[in-house]
Order: sequence, then C-alpha cells, then structure tokens
Amino acid sequence: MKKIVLIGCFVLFSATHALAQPATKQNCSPNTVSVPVTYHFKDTDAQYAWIYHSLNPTLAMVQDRVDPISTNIEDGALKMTFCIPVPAETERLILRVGPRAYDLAIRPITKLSSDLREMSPILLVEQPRPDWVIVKSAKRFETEASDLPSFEVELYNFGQAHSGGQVVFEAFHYWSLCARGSTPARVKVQVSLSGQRLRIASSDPEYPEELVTRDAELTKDINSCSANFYLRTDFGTTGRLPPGPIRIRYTLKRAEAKVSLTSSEQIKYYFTRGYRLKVIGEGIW
Amino acid sequence: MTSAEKLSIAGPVVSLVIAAGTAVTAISGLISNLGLRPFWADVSTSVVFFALVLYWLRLTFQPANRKPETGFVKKAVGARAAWRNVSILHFCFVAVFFGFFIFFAYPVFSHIFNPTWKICGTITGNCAPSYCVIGLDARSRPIFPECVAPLDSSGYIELVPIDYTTYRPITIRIQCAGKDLQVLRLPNEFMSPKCNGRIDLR
Repeated sequence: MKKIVLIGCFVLFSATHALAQPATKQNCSPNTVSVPVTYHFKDTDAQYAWIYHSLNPTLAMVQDRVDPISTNIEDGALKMTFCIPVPAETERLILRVGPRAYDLAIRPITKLSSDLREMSPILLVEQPRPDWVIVKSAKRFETEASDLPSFEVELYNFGQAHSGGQVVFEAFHYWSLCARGSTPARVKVQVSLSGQRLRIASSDPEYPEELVTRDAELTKDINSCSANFYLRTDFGTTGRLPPGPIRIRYTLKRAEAKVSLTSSEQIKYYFTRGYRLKVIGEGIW
Repeated sequence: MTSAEKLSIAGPVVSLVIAAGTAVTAISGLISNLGLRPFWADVSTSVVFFALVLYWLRLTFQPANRKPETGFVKKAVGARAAWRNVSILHFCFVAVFFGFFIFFAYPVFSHIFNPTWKICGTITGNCAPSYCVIGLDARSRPIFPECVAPLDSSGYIELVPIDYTTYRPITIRIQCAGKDLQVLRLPNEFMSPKCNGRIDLR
C-alpha cells in the first residue's frame, strides 16, 4: 500500500532564526514536571544550529504534544526543556524530533521545591544523522526590478535523491482588508524560477526568464471587511532534489487579483508582509 | 628440630590444606550445581563452614575438658605432647574454616543491613541501545539470571532487585548481540536517585 502520508514543513520567516536566540530560563508552572532533554547527532556535520533549529521537537504523554519552553544549542547538542503534567510511572513519553519519534521511559522525578519538580535528564546522544530534507532557510527580499518581492528557499538533502516537494506561500490578514467576490476567489501570480542543479518540471531551463503562472487561492469569507483573509499561493514543485544543498529562487513578476480588493496594492501588500513559506512533501522537514 | 618432629608438623599441615581445599571445592561445586543466586549460595556456604567451625571447636576443646575416667593420672610427658599436637591442628582447622565462614558470610551480612538499591543511568555508544546488561556482585557473580535490556531507545537502563536477597551490583557486563562487550565498574552517578549517570561505550 502506497504510503501517502505527507510530512509538512513550516518555515516561519521569523521563527527560522528564533531558536538561535539565547535561551531564556523559564520555570514550569506548578503541578507540572520539568523534563530536560538533550538531543545530539553523532556526525559533526549534522551538529549545525540550522539543523537543530529545523527539528521542531515536541513531547507527548498520551495525546497532548507540548513544545519546549526553552531550547539551547551547547557543545553540538540541542538542549531543551519541556513542561508536562506529572506522569504515572507506567506511562511513556513520545519525543518527536523532526520526522523521528522516540518512545521513552519515565525517569525518576525529584521535587525541587513545593511547586517545582524535575525529571532526570533524557539523553539522546550520538543519534544517526538526518536522512531527510531540511529546509535550511526561507528568505524574502526586495528586488529593484519589481515592486513584488522574491523568495529564496534553501534546502539540504541529507538523504538520497528526493522526488521533491511543493512550495506554498501563505499569508494571513486580519481586519484591514475589504475584499469582494465569490469563494473561492483566485489571484493570479506569475513566478519565475531559478534553481541550482535542479530540473524544475514547470520551467524550461532553456528559457529561464519564462514566466510560470501560479494561482493564489483566496479562501474563507471574503465578502466582508472584517473577515479573516487567507491567501495561499502554490509556487509549484521543487523538482527532484539531489543530495546536498539546493537553493531555489522564486521571483514574483506580476500579480493580478480576480477579486475585488480595496486597492490594487493589496496583493503586493500580502506578498511583502505575508506570513510563511511551506515546503510540503514526504521526508521534508 | 629433628626430622621426626618436622614430619609430625608437616603431616597435619598437609592434611589441613587438603581438608580445607576439599571442603571449599565440594561445597562450591554443590552450591554451583544447585544454581542458587549469590546471596543464597553465600548463605548456604557460610552455614556449612560455620557448622565445620563448631564441629572442630568441639573436637579442639574435647580433650582438654575430658576428665580422666579411671581416676589414674596418665603418663605426664606423653599425654601433654599428644594433647598439644591435636589441639593445635584442631585449632588450625577452626581458624581456617572460620576464615572461610567470614569470607562467605561477610557479603550476606553487609547486604542484610543495606538490602535496597537501584542502579540507573544511560549507556550510549557502540551498539547502544541494542545492548543488554548483566549485573555482577563484588565477586563478579551475576546477580540476575537474565541480561537486562534498556528501557528505551536512549539507552536508559534501570536495574532493581528482584527481591530482598538480590545483591547490589558493583560491576556490569555489557553484552552486544549475545557476546560480551565490556565489563565496567559502575560509576557513582548510576547509584544516584537522580539517574543522571552516563556511560559511553566508545
């Protein structure tokens, strides 16, 4: 049976670098347990901060996943602290690090004070190197030639040749847009692609300047000034990803809206202030 | 010292060594065949040696305590020499067997006064987490019959006594794919209740 589970990767423009900030010391709330976890890749070429930043670790007991309250990179290892409800001795913890899931035993819990409890540290050291595609960075930058921004996605394929993923741009907007039209409405965007060592199916390498048309989909209720506005633009597939680093640039050339917006600049506004770029595909993180 | 006197001393010493060696071999062999865990093996062996101590104590003091039944005084020189030879030999047996008794009883008593323990920590590197661990007592005997696997893929392991008669391990034998990999002395952190110890098998 063909496995069709897609693992999505969310690359927040701001969050890409958020993990690199110095960790702030935070305490767990009362009646929870602080769980320190160390995650360390064995190979030195997998111990870079951008790799650890991409892992998006979560810890779960039964169903509820929690994000770490603090993360830090020290001595080539990702050190994080989670806060979870006090577990029973027989319970198990599920730690998700990138696409990997670890089924872990409960460690002894020490009472530090009347409110604070701490579990003995969980050490996951000398772990095998990643064997998936990591979205190293996603940048937006202005170009002089156009009033629309360009996007650059930097990927690193740690595994074998990968069939590629789908690049999607998302933008949210609240309260400040008046749009009229029917749902779903479409916004036409023209994208030019340039990739290194890539054969992008929708772009002819002989004519790199040729524009590729993509549809940006407007969803939710748009017949209101107060409705949330959600714009999703499909930038198309990355094409086959060879092992190693890959950099892909998407240059927006022209944007047209087939929906009534308050001003023609609204489309530009969304691409310049938009929210996040996703690369979706199996084994992409 | 005449050759006759030397022979009179060598004979009892040889017999003492042979008797003690035979006793240890026989008892150890019997206990080992019974497949007892170290605690019960030590208890059984020390009981046997304690019985031997009592037996030889009885033999040692019997001639001195025995009163002449006839009322006649024995020949003074010969009687004193015989008593001295027998009692020294007996006393040596008592001392040797008491030494063995202490040797086997010591771990039993030291365990009885501190029967609870927990060994925990993370073992990483080499074939971790596919390894398993056999706890060994102070005399390198397995405290469990089976090899204990880690509790999860991080290599975290916990060793707890099966009952109050399970000795505390001092060293561990690490097996990988059924073969002995390493014998290590347990670091102090593995005995800490925080379980934050780590052994790197590299």
